Amino acid sequence: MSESVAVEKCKNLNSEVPNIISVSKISKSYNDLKVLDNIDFNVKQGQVITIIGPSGSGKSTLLRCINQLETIDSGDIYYKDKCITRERVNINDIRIHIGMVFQHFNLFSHLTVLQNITLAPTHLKKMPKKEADELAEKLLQKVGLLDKKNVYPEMLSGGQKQRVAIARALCMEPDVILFDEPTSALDPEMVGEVLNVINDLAKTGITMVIVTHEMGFAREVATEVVFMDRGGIVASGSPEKIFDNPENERIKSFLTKVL
Amino acid sequence: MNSLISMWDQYMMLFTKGAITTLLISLITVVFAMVFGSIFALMKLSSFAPFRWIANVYVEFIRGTPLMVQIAMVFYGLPYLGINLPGITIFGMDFERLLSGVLALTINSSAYVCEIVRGGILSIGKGQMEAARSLGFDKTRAMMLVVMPQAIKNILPSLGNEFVSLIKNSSQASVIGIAELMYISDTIRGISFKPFEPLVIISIIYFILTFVVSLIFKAIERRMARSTR
Repeated sequence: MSESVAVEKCKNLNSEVPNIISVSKISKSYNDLKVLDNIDFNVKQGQVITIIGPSGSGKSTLLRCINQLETIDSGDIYYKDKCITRERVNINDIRIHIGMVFQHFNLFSHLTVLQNITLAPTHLKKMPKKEADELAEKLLQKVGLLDKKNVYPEMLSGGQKQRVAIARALCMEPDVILFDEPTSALDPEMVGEVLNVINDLAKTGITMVIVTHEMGFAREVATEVVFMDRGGIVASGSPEKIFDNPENERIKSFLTKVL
Repeated sequence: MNSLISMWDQYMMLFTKGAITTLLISLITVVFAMVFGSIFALMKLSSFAPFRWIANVYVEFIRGTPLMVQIAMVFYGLPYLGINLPGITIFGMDFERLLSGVLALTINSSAYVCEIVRGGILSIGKGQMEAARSLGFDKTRAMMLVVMPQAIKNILPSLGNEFVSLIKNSSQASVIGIAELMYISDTIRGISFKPFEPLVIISIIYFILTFVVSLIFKAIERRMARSTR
């Protein structure tokens, strides 16, 4: 009895927290290949969602559809209850609030570390240069790279590049940050430093969606884990539910392969 | 050797004016060609098909026809369209017909610069554009702030080449009577009945011009290489 009350309470709490991103029945195909098949997906304020699943299951595509780096064939995407796929919205205004960190970092190679971070706030938010520099330095401090602020990206290791990329996303003070396999392009010894930074961020309450192949990390950092396979969401729930008591056969076989 | 020196002494003013005209045509053209070449390159890469068609037809037609024909067509064709380009005066010197030459060379060079710039833009990984877009930049600003600066650095050697070709190609503007180096050489041959010496002198001047341009571009490349990859 008391348990069901607790569950009820939890549900109420959940429904009070607003959705930042809401994805409704989206599908996408490349020619004959269906990469996303009728997907529903919500991101609530303060959640850290990790998306796991086999290669080619549509994880990255889902992430890239959210900020419309990929176009969807059908369905709708809402940003804070505003439909950004059907109504006439300027996607650039939405993207300002949705940060993205890429697998291959994509730092701007003609700009220094500091300039990489301040480019967007100074141009898009009209933040004064001095203020942007100070914010950037604070963020670089946070990711442990303040001493690199005046070097160009080519002088950095992969792990350092990714930490700068995270600072660059943070500098726009987004409502949610999407991580697209942030450690997949890194040498093994550099994975830890990047995951630590993301872990620290998670503790500050920033909303994040993380596509990753690092299972230990996916479990540790997440408030919710989503398992995708063949373009669909097979299961989602607490890390314990997905990792310890997977009911689904496909999750079981995936986990035995990767763990 | 002596005849060369005496010829230089005698016609120094003419050679100088010819050199200035050559340099002027090339400089003005290279600026316009950069602008229009970039515009055509963006049109070629546009998602709007008619832009691509226009740019493709333009580039293919210009690259497939001789420069000298293009120069003559501009010179004789413009009056048909009711356009008469005025002569211009710079630093107190008159440059008759210069604008027709600049226009023809710009039309020609833009096609080549277009291909260079297009290659430069394509050489920049699409992740750069995506990163800029994901931060909230629109396509144009992402292009201007992120892609183009990197592309231009990559294509600097090719642009230097194009500028050098332009200086040499400007000699063909002599056919419409622009008093650049080649025209001066012909003129002096007519006055002095010596065909060879003026050619030697202008080829030395051409070489100095192109060599200096090469050196300048090398210096810019080195400066830019210091910052990045």
